[in-house]
This record gives sequence, structure tokens and C-alpha cells, in this order.
Amino acid sequence: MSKTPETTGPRKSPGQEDSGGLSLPPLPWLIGAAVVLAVLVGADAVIDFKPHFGVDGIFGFHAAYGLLSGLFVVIVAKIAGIFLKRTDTYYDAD
Amino acid sequence: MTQISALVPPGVILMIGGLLLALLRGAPAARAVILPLAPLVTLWAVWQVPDAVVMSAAFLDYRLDIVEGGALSRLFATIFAIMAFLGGLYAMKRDSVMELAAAFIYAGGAVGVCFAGDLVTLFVFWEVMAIASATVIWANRTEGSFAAGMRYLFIHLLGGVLLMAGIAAWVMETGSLELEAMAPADVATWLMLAGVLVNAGAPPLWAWVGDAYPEASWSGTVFLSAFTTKTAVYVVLVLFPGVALLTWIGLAMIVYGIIYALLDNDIRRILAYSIVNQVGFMLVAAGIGTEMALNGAAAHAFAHIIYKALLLMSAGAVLYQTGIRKATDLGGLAKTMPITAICGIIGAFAIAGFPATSGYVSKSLITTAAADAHLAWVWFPLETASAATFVYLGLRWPWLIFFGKNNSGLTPKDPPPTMTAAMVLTAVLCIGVGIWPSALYGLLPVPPDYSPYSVYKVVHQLQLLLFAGLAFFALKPLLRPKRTVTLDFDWFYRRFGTFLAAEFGMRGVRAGGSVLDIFQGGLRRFVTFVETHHGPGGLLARTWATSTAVFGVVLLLLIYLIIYFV
Repeated sequence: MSKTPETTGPRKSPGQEDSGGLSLPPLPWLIGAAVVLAVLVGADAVIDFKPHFGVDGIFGFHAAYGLLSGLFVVIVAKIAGIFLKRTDTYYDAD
Repeated sequence: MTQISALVPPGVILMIGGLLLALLRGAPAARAVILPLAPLVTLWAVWQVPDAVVMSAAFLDYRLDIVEGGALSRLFATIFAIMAFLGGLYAMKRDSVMELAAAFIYAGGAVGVCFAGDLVTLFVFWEVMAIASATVIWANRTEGSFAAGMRYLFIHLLGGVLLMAGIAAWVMETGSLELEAMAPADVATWLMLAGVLVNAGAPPLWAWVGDAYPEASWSGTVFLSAFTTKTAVYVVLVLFPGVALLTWIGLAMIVYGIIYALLDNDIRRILAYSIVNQVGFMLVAAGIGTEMALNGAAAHAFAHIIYKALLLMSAGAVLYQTGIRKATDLGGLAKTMPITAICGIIGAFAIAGFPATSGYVSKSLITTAAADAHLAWVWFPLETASAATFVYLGLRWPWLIFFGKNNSGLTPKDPPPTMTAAMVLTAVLCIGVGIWPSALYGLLPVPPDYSPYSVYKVVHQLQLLLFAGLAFFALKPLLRPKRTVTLDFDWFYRRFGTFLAAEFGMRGVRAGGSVLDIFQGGLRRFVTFVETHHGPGGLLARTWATSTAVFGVVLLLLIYLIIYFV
């Protein structure tokens, strides 16, 4: 039986709603992730490839570009959000 | 032997299935037979269409090629039929017959567009899609879905009007209804391009995607995500391949999709924005226009339909089981909905182009095409967008729903077996295309001599994505959802337009009142004048005394005599 879709869902108190998922993962996970990332960057030293634009042939370019791109888009989105965001009841009078 | 496609267009088979569902009022037996069978028969019929015109009809002085086969048509029609099957299986428990019937007619319209061999046939199926898809939205039967469906329909009717006007002008100019590659050079072609781009979710009217899709039911959005924008991509590839403007439009859509998805709180609206983002990749490729780029656009449309359906099935399962659509109210559901979570994660990794998924093998064609064409101004933004997609969808979306704190306090299970089966099948397809790309590449108009799995490509893609993931974990506090909506172009017709209407309405009433006052005042003075002179007490209506009458006669006689003697 289908549940009735809600538009807002249950409300939580302001302090309660976004508190999840901020703790650091266990140390073995962190070490594992660091090893994977290091191996991936290190692989640039041994794999053979032909860069298309010059700069993409620099050691670890894709890793650095991925990191900077991730940081860049989040910050741009947050800045855009300052101007574009409204409370979710903004269009309720439609 | 007569081809099946010469008797009935493949898309019409799906439409008949939809109509039968409606006629049989969605009886369980009819549902169990028609929902899987109609798409499978359609798929079979799609593959029976040879690379030629197999059905035509006379129309005025023209000949309509109602069914014309070709590799690109077959590719898109194949994935549309597969999607109708998977969507039908997923929606088996959906109680709205209206939605299921409309969804199949909608899918049939999309298949019809793929095989249309002329502009008029294309337009007819195009409009069938617009009406049927709006019906799918309305079938959710909420106030929000009614209003959003109406806005959606207006936008798409506008797109249809632009397309029709362009077609009419084109026929006036050339006398031809043939589908052929053209460039926007005059009114006719600009109008056609504009009409098609409305359906692709291009700027400035792109807001309809994020506005309408999340308002459909848990199953309706799965259908909606597959057909409209991808049919537009198909038409762009047929009519406007290599138009450089498309690259700019595509890049704008990519940026828009990322920013809006990062800001949103509705788990299905995030996915709707990501549709615009991914269709942006396809338009960029269409704009590059090389053989590999056009292959990439077609392949990405195919792959996108699979992983986006998977994501929306996963989100739909959460909505079905919890009734909640806001990310702020979700979280931590992986423990109790493991299959839904795994399928959602597979879809999220696929859209980010993670190796071994369908998204990787198709997106790789597009980025390689940009690199081979030495278009640095395209390649670098595409790489940024790939990294961003891993942040906003590959990681953030599953995190909001399946990990972290369980804000709903609910412990829902995975959805019923038909929904779960549809999700698992779609996930298998998603991975299957990823690890066996030649199956997809073999369907492309010009099968590419290309392997996405050379060591350096995989390593660089993993570097790009996993380091973007590092950025995600570093900025996680900034990525928490808030109870907000994001202003978009629809503000102009949802707020500004209504404000203008109210304002002009108020002034109009005042102006109208003044005109009426002037008219009424004049009328009133005239009536008063007539009443004064001719009314019961008026000068001319009064009963005169005999002496006054005699005096009057004498006066007239005197005037007469004077005039006579003078």
C-alpha cells in the first residue's frame, strides 16, 4: 500500500536535524584511504600516457584538479546560495 | 513476410498497451500481462525496423514517413523500450491506472519520435509526449502536482508552438518535410532549435525540470526522467549536430545542474537538477560535432537513462516506504534498506562516471572527444563537472539518505519485491554496460574503435573522483541540507508574473472604473436634461393656461406680420 507522499515530512528541532555523519571514520579506514590515494598519485610515475594540453601531463595533475574542482564548486554553490536560497515555504501560496 | 513495423509503428504498440490498461481499469491480471509484455513486444518491433522507410502516408501534398529505421533511432528506441519495461515492473504496485496508461503512451510517443522520418510525424509524437507526461505528473493527485503539471504543460506547449512555427516556416522555405542536419541560420531553424531545446532543459526555461519532476509520484518520476530530455537530445543529434552554440548551452546546463543540486534539500529534485547537468554533457558533445563526440552524446543518453532511472527508483523506494522527500528528514536508512541503498550508490557512482559503471564508458567518449579536438575550454570544465558530480551526487546524495543520523526515526524495509526486482535489474544493467562497453558501443551509429579501460584513463579518472571525494569530506559541514528552495527562472512566472498580473489587474480596475464613471456621468446628465425638459414637470410637457396659449398665438401672428411687411 502506497504511503501518501508528504511535502515536508516530520520536522525536527533546529539543533537536531543536521547533526549526523560528521564524526571522523575509524583510523584504519583513514589509513586505507590515504594509501589508496597515494598509490593512485604514485601510479602517474609509472604509467605511460600522452597529455593533450601539456598541463595534464604534470605528475598528479588529475588528483590536484579533482581536489580543487571539488572545493571550488562547493564554495561557488555556497556563495550562489546566499543570493538564491529561500525558505522551503516560499512558494506555498501558489 | 510483412514487417511488423509496416503494420504498426513500434511506439504505437506501447500506446495500445497504455490504452488497454486504461480500458481494463488496471485490473491485476491486465497489469501483470500488459506492463511487461507491451514494452517487450515494442523492443522486438524496434529491432524489426530496417534502415529504410517502412511506413508512409500521404498528407496534403506531402508524404509522411511515419516509420523510418536507422542506427540512432534504434539506439534511442531500444533504451526507451527497456525503460518502459523496467519502469512498468517498478510501478506494478502503483494504484493509479491513469499514471500507468499515460506513462506508456508517453513512452510510445518517445519511441514514435525516434522512428519519425519527417517533421510532421515527429511533431505529432512530440505533442503526444507533452500531454501524456503532464498527465503522469497530475496522476500524483496532490495540489503541488497539479500546479507543477500545469506549469510543465504550459512550458512544453510553448516549446511545441516554437517547434511547429519553425517547421511551418521551414516547409515554406524549402518545401521539404525531411529530417536533415541543419544549422540555425534563419527564423525557421532558430525556432525549431528553440522548440527542441525547451524540452532538453536548456536555458532560460530550464526550471521546469526541477519544478515538475519531483512533484510526480514515487513511480511517475522514474518514467519522466527517461523520455522528454533524451528525446530532445535525439532530435538535436538528428537536426543540429555540430552546432557550436550547443556546446555553450551545454556548459551552462552543467554548471546550473551542479550548483542547484548542491543547494537543494529534496532528494528527487537533486536528481532532477542532475538531469539538466547530464543533458548538458550530451549537448556539449552534440556541439563538438565530431564522430566520437556524437557517439558520446548518444551513448551518454543511453547510459544516463539507466543510471538516472536507478537513482529515481532508489529515491522512489525511500519515498514509498517513508513518505518523506526532504533530505533534512532522512538519513541512516542503509541499515534497514540495504538493497535500496546499494542500488542508489551504484546509480550515484555511475552518474559520477566511476569506472565499471555505465556512466564511465559513455562520459569517457565525450571527454576524449573534447581532448582529441584540443578544445581546452571544453575539456577542463568537463573534468571539473565530473569531479563535482562525484561530490554532489556520488557522495552527498547517498550520505543524505542512507548514512549519518537517522532524522526520521523510521526503520523502513526495502520496498516490495517488484520494486526491488526492477531496481536490481536496472543496477545489473548499469554495471553490465560498464564492464562490457562494447555492447553499447556496438549499437552506436558508427561503432567507435575505442577502449575506455586503458590503465591511464582509469587511473586518471580515479584520481579525479577520489580526490574530489577528499574535498567532499573536507567540506562536509558545508554540504548539510537546509530547509530551503532555490530561486530559479520559474520565479518569473510563479512570483513576478503573478505580481504583475495583480498589479496590472488593480490598475486596470481603477482605469476601467474611471472610464465607466465618465460614461455613466454623461449618461446621467443626458437623462437629467431630458427629464428636466420633457419629464412630467418639464417645461415642454407642462399643461399651459388658455391665456398663455392665446398670448403665444398672438405673438406668432405678430412675428409673421412683421416678416411679411419687411
